[in-house]
Amino acid sequence: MTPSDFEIRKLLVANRGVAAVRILKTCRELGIPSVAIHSTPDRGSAHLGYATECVELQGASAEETYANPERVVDAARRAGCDALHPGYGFLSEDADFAELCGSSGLTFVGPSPMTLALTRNKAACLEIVRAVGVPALPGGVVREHEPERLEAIVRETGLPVMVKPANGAGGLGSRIVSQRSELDDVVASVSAQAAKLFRDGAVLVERFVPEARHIEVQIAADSHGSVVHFYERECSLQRHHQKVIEEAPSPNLSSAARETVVAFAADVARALDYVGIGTVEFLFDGTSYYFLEVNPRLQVEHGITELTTGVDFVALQLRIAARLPLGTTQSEIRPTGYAVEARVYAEDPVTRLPTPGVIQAVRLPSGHGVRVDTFVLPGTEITSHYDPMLANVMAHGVDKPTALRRLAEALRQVAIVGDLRTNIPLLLQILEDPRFQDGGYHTDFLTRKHFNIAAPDEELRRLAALAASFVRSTASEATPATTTTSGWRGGGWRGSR
Amino acid sequence: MRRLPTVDGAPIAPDEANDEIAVVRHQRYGSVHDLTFVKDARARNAIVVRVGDAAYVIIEGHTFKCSFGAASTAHASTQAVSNVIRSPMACRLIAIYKQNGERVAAGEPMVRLESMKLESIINAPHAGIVTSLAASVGDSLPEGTSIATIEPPSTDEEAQPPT
Repeated sequence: MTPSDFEIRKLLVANRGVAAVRILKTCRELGIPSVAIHSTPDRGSAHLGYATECVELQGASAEETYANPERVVDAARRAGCDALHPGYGFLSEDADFAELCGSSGLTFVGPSPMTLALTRNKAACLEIVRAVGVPALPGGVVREHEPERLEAIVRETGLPVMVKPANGAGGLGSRIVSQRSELDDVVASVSAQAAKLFRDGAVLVERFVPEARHIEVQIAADSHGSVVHFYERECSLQRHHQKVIEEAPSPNLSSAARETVVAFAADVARALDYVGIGTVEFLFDGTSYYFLEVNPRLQVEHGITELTTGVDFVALQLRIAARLPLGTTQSEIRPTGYAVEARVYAEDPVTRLPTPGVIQAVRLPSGHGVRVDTFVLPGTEITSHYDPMLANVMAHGVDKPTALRRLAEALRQVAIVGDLRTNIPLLLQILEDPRFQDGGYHTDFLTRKHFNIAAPDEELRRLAALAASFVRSTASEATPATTTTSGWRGGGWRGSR
Repeated sequence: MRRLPTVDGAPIAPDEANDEIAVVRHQRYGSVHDLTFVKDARARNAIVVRVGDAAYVIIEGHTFKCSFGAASTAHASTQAVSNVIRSPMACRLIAIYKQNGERVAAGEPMVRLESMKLESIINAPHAGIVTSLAASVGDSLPEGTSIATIEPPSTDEEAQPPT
């Protein structure tokens, strides 16, 4: 980095888990002193090991700790930080928090408070985006008890529609409505929920596209007016609006269709006077793109774009926050190969419910083209206070089949065990599914209508018992590796002696 | 009579005709074992992670907890139960909480171990009296070393109400 009039001297990372580890690793690499914060139950959390200092925020809930603006800023000031990285989730998209950082003399590593206010307000964002010629879904914002306005919107959108909080995030509280007779009630209920979750009862009613793909473009813009994109990611594989597997590049996209969407994303960034890195999300119905929203932060799935482009997006964020130029031009950004990411969650693969618990042992995969972002250690407790994400397992290869093979093999190597389950059976089944491999899938792929996973049967349980018995019977042998072709029974060896 | 572990708390009945696996590959990385075995003419991979007296087995991505210790069911005391506490991995013994002759309750800490700079506590798998405690603080123990035996209270003691 070139010397500048602004440098980051000490950075507080206002996050935990995979996000905190990811950011702190870059700080270590760049030699930037860092401060990690942690809640009371996160005392032994792995992210602390990557920081140069740690501060405990007493309490367990996010509201008391990682998502508490005053306490986080106070911790940063006491530790003598001059910058703060919010990571993703928690306070990362909170305009008021960014403002508080600024007024407390902390550089917020992210877009300006004004940009954050705009990206959060879907109606305002849509108006700005439409004005620069980027298409969006037909629809409008309505509040409770505005029947004429709702009627006018539905005349334009037709049915079905998606009803969601206008100032929401992450698809939280969204509902799909196919019957006109149900719409008034759903609008009232989403509005009530939005008021509770996001302190604003405004509701966005948009045309719902059933067979849609979710494509997003990684962008970066510096404070000197340069805007670049790092091409797209396919994020259609989701459930409850939570992404499960992401790919870069998007499968089956013509180069014309790719050029269209990346140009739209850059237009959106310019229209919002964007400074920082971010993601512009679009729906794609196979013919047209519709702007969805901007995620004004580092994203969970940034790693696959790092694999294809070689960029460190956290370093780039720090660079932009230090008011340095991007240091790269659009023509220098040339993605190579194909990358794919699977999110490993602590959840039951069959019921898809989170399974909190203490991790007893961890074995992570490695191999050519494999990257694992995680924070789990033996002893890490996965509590219901936070996100159940355990790891992002990524693979990169010259083409999609190569990367998918590498990812499947990596997932088969993962052992994260304890009183919890992982969604790895689900991930493996997706990777083997021809509909996924061929790329002809939509956002409804993981709904139970299309995709189900069988509960392990009695035979698999018996095999587990036999494998465990085998290992137990050999435990006293100090051999590092053994090979045998003899038969073995639950009670001991029955070889050809 | 041999015994199979419980799987996720449920017993697996031994089945002479159905309990044979041919292990063709066994690689071991500390407490993590990678197996390839053949059963019913089909090759399968499994990861087995030993933690204390239990083993977590991962097959086709599914995790199963296999326990050899005392099942919490009523008939557990009639089955042969391992009374021996062994080191789950190569480790150093850094604390002993119960000495020979002391009474210990199920789940009470017995010893503290350190391995690869990580400390872990081994709890008593069942209630009883500590016997044959052979190791001392500071000892380096290979995996599977017998540390102590916990003799369960005699069934007479348990079954008969005090008179």
